[in-house]
Formats: sequence, structure tokens, C-alpha cells
Amino acid sequence: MIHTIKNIILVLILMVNFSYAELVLIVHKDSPIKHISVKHLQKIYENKSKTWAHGGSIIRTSLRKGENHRNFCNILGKNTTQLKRFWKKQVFTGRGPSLKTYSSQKSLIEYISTHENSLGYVDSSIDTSLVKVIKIQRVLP
Amino acid sequence: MIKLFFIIFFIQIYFIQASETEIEIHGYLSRGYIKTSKYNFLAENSSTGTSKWGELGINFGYQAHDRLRIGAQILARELGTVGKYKPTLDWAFLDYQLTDWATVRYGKFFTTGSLYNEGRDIDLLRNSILLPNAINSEDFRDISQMKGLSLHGDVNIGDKNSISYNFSKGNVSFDENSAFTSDIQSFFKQNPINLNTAVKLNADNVLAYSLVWNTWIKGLRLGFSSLNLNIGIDAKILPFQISLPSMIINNSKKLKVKSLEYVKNKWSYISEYVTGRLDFIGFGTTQTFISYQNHYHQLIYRLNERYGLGLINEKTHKNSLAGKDLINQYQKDLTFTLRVDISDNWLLKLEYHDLEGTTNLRGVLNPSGQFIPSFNKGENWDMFMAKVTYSF
Repeated sequence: MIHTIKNIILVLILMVNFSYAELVLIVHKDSPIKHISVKHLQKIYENKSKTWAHGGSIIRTSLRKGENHRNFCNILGKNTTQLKRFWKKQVFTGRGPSLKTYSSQKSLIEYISTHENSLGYVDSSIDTSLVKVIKIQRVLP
Repeated sequence: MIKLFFIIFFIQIYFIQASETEIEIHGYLSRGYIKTSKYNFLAENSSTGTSKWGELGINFGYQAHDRLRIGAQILARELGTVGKYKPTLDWAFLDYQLTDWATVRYGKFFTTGSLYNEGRDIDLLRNSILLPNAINSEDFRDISQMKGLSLHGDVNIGDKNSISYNFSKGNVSFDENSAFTSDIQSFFKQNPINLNTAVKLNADNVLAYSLVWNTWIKGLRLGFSSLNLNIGIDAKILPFQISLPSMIINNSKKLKVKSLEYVKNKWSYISEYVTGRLDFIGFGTTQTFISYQNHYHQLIYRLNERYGLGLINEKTHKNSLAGKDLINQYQKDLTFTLRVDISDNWLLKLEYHDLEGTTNLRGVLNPSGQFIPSFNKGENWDMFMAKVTYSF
């Protein structure tokens, strides 16, 4: 019985790690950023944290739809509709820039590779040689 | 207004030359239809159905510096005979971020008030077509914006709480053809004054503040806001342009809004409550112009990314001192909304209002006065609305 419970817990832990392991955060190759906490990531995508500690306005990017986008929204504690409306509100009330959205991971990587202060995410299985991969500090909110 | 636009325009030009950051341009276009039973509401001829309702907005945003953001929006709108698609500067301001938790804003911006006042012109930012009239009355659109200076930001309190604050000081300008101005003209036209007038309004030294507590309970925020303004009236009797003695509308009881919003998964619940009183002081007398005690409850259910349903129950008491049970002293509105996000750019909304009472009806839209207690068409009426929006 105890053995079964241990196995279930192990599977659950692996599932949690796997769901986070699918996504990686990416920044420009020259960026000094090494990791971002979930809390800081949430503040960035809530437009409450606007500049990098080393200087420069953060340019936030996102995929337009798909499982990776849904998983990313889960990390932010929002659903896809909430994230979309939040950024529309920023634009139409003058509070902030738009969220740069891309229909493919390839085009998102291309954008980040040419914009120094940008931040985005992709599936860990995709080629990220043009950009720098950074870690999400997995302290859940 | 023009001066302000040029100040911001030239600062923007300077920074565009000094930086490689791009200017963002976005916009939206809306077209609506209103059909009411019995009375005209919001627009002339709504009782026979009217599509004289639309907005066209274009905005520009530019990150001039790590800490400086500049933006402006031009808006052309029409609601019955108001607006006539004349382009106006909807908002234009500079936001300079002093620290992570404090930003200074200068320019023309939306005042604090309802949680939804800031995006009131943009249909796509809310579920319903019409923002609850009990708090965001179209008649009071002029005082939803001000020109001046504000300090705003977010302060973290511990790990799980934060306060969003806004303190603003400035002045409010009133459009000569706005609903508020024409209501003042109607006020002079009533007995015992009974004068045809041209009216100019102004409000200086307007003070507003708001505090929104983003609580430790995920999705729950509580807000409080206050607005204090005194409106000067410069009225001339027509056709001889004889000036009347100075008069004011005194904000005897500050306009205060209490708000609650709770979002959980696909559900949202919002409730807001406003109180306040405006007194007319002139001709040696003081009389209540408007006394508020209004509230609404709103429930939204998001079925999926495309469809959303909404229910609003609101109640308005525009002049609670005059007797709450008279047909023209209150208005109840039960609203059902269907929102369809057809695509990222296209939005369709359909809305039905089940109404009781006539206090939000305007005399200029119902000139025969059929909504007053002694000569009305009945307290129960309804309204259907449809609106399509394209945004980019």
C-alpha cells in the first residue's frame, strides 16, 4: 500500500516537472539574465515590472495560441482570454505597449534574436541556438 | 487642448529621433444599433430603432526612454446627435516612471472612479455593450476625464497583497454639445426660470484619488475612489447674449465609488456602489441638481475563448431627495449580454435590457416630457442593442 502511494506521488512529481520542463524562457543572446522567478515573470506579464535590472524596457512576446501558450498562461495564473484582454487594455488606455504575439515558435525566436530586451518562451524541444535559454525558478506562487 | 497635443507631439518627435524604438499604432472601429420601446434613450429616435452610434479610435504609443512612455488617442464618435464623428483628442499623456512603484502622468487622462472608467470608450475591453449606467452614465462623460497631473503606481504589501493607487489634480473641460451641457441648458429652460441659454462650463482644481487593494485571495480586488469638483456656469440668455450672474454646481457631497471584483476561472463577479450630490447654486438659491445612490451587480461567465455571457442588475436613484417611488426618480435595469469574439480582430455583442423607471432618460431626447410622473407611458420598458467592433 505504502509502495503504491509512493509510486503515485513520484508520478505526480514527474508530471509537474514535465509540464514545466516543456517550456523554456528565452531572451536575446547578449542578455545577462540567467533566471527569472515565477513571481517576477508574473509581474513582467502584468506590466508591473517594466524594465530589466541591467537597464532597458522589457519587450514581452507570446505565442498566439496552442498548448505551449496555454501552459505559459497557467504559469502566469491567467487563462488565454484574460492575458489577451489585459494587454489590449494596456494598449487602448495608453498604459503600455502591446504584447508581441507570434503564430509560430520559429518566428518568435527570430524576433527575440534581433531584439535585445525581449523575453519569450518556447517548447524545450525546439532549436534555440539563436537565443539564450534561461531558467524559471520553480517556486510556485 | 491643442496646446497639450502639440507639447506631447514635439516631445515625441524629439525622442523618436533619439531612439530606435518603434511607434505603435492601434485602433478600433465600432458600429451599434439601439431599439427601445416607449422612450428614447441615449439617442434620438431609439424608439424606432437607430444605428447612429459608433466610434473610431486611433492611438499611438511610444517608449521614448526606459522610464518614459508617451501616448495619445484620437477618437471620433457618434451617439444620436452627439459627437457627429468630429475627431477629438481622447487622451494624451506622458508617463514617467520614478520608481517601480511610482509613476507621474501629465496630460489628458481618464479620472479615477469606476474600475472600468479608464477603458469606457473601448467596447472590446468589457463584456457588456453598455457599461452600467448607474455608475458610468453617458450623461456624465465629460467628468470622466481631466487634464493635469497624476501620481499612480502599485505598492506591494508583503508577498500576497498590493495596493494600486492614483492621485490626480487638474481641470475638466466640458464639450459645448455634450449631454451634460445640454442638460444644464434644459435645467434653465424648466420653470420657473424658463430661459433659452448658451452655456459654457468649467471645473478647475478637480481632485480625485483611488485605491485598489489586490487582496491575498487570488482574483479578488476591492476599490475605493473619490472625486471632488465644482463646476462654474457661464450662461448667456439668447438671442441677446446677456450674461446671467455667476452660478456654480457645487459638489456638496463628494462622488465616491466602492468597488468589488472577483474573478475565478470562467466566472467574474463585479459590484460597484456610488454616492454623491451636486447642488445648483444661483439666483440666490441652492437646490439639489443630482443626488446619487446607485449600484450594480454583474456576473460574467466565459464559456470558452469565443463566447461569453453576462448578467447585470443595476439601480439608479438620481435624486433620492425628491421621492424614491416616483417614476422619474429611479431606474432599474436587468441586462443580458452575449459576447462573441469572432476572431482576434472582430467582436460582436448582443444585449437585452429589461427596464423599470425613467430617471436616466433625458428631456432633450423626449421633448414632449412623456416620462414625467403625471404624463408617462408606463414604468416598464425595454431595449435591445447590438454592436460590432473591429480592432487592430
